[in-house]
Amino acid sequence: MDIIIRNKKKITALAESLQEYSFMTVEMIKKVSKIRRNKTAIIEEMYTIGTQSLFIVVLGGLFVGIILALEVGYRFEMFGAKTMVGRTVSLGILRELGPVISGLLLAARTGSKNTSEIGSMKLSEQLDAMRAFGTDPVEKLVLPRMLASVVMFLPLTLLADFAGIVGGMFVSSAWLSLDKSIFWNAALYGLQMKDLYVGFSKPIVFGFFISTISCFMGMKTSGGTTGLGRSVINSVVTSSIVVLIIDFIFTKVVWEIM
Amino acid sequence: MGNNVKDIISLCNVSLKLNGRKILEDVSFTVQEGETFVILGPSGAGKSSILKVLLGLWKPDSGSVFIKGAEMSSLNENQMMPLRKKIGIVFQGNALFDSLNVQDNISYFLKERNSISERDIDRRVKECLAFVNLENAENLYPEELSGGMKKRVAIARAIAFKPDIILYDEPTTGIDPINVKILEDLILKIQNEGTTSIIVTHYVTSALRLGNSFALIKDGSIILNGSNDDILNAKDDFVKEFFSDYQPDEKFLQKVNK
Ligand SMILES: Nc1ncnc2c1ncn2[C@@H]1O[C@H](COP(=O)(O)OP(=O)(O)O)[C@@H](O)[C@H]1O
Ligand SMILES: [Mg+2]
Repeated sequence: MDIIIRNKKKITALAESLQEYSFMTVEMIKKVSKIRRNKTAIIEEMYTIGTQSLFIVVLGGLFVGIILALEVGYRFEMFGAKTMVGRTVSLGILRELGPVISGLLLAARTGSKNTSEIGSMKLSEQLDAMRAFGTDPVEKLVLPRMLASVVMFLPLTLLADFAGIVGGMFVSSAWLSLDKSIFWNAALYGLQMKDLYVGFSKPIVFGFFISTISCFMGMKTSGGTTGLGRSVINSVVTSSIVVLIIDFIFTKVVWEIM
Repeated sequence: MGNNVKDIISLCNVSLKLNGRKILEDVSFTVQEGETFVILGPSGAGKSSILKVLLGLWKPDSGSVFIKGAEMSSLNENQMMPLRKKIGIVFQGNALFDSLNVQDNISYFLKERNSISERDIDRRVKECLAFVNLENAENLYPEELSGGMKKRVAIARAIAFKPDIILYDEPTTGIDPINVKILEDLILKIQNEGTTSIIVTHYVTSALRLGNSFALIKDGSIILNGSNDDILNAKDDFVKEFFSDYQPDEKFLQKVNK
């Protein structure tokens, strides 16, 4: 109780932010019918996300695959279960590590971009200008970014997954002298539909939350350049935590009911 | 108030607080169709805030704002849109979109009105650029423009859709004397087309050259509201001090005395 009373201000501020965030999200969803009018902006955003994040996401996936194959490989070798490496790597990457690592990297990459762009527009009154001239910043800025993220995060994550599994394969063949075909067989053999459902739906949900949170933080920016810096940090930290929480919820809840 | 047919804008007893601080207190004035209303006052007096309240960007804590007979605070963001589309504004810091070039800045809000064809938009942009004497700046970005040019682009953007009302927030502040003259001439040219204008400024000379009706604001309250006779003959100390630097030229005095 004491803690609650002492942090009353912070808690109310958090509750207020949550409320405002929900309002913005509802506003945005109401504008989904305006997709066609904002086609160009959506395609531009998709292009930006794709070109700017491809490299780090693939690199992230690749290294996770390599490290996972090494760690798992050395342990399994002790038990003579080396042939299982492929299965563990593919499951681990497709279901958990691929989406999470991509999610975190995208939270940093596209999240900071959204917040700093929209935040500086807020500070230089460009958002006020949009409203003043009768256009809706949520429709013009948030909606395209959300849709672009929701569409692009899945293929990016798939590429990261692929890079990770291929990386794992090369490491296993080079350092564990595991035949590539054995690795592939094991990698594909253990997979079930629900692994793919879980692994493929995560990026879509991450895309929604990362984009809306980062845009919201941008629109709330105040206090000059220091304020902008603070917004960007808050945006990346919040979306990263949300990525981890959603990942946990997916793994635990969705896994249990499916 | 608000009933007179000729009143295109009226504020009635508007008060505004931001973060617990009083910004505006009991502000009332009316602007008639075709008139040029000048809001004078020192920095931080609340001049820009009046424009934000007027456009519904900030909701007043009490009082009401009528634009063309509609009460702004009874409308939600979406309902304000059609009303705002009749008002052009030149922001104090221009608020040009820095990711777009001059042409796209001017056409941005034109494109929002679906009914206009691509060709008509191009034609209108050219017309506006010619109007503000910037025919060759089409492809430049805001960061490549001088202060005076930015202001002229902002004016071009505001008049592009032929608004009934145009608001200027300190259009000549921080601009060299030659460009001040150019901008003032532009404002007069727009006035002559019958557009109702509100000009915020702290330059007395500009104010008297451009306006028909004046309000002097200090610490969020209007302390004087009237014609140029009223302000030049006022007895109030603050008003006298504010106008003390002003040396009216002969022609102007003759005009006033007539
Ligand atoms: N976004 C804001 N939040 C809180 N206070 C503000 C904000 N904008 C302006 N103010 C305060 O409101 C007062 C009036 O500001 P403003 O209307 O910009 O004055 P002016 O345009 O006459 O120079 C100032 O004291 C300023 O500090
Ligand atoms: Mg101001």
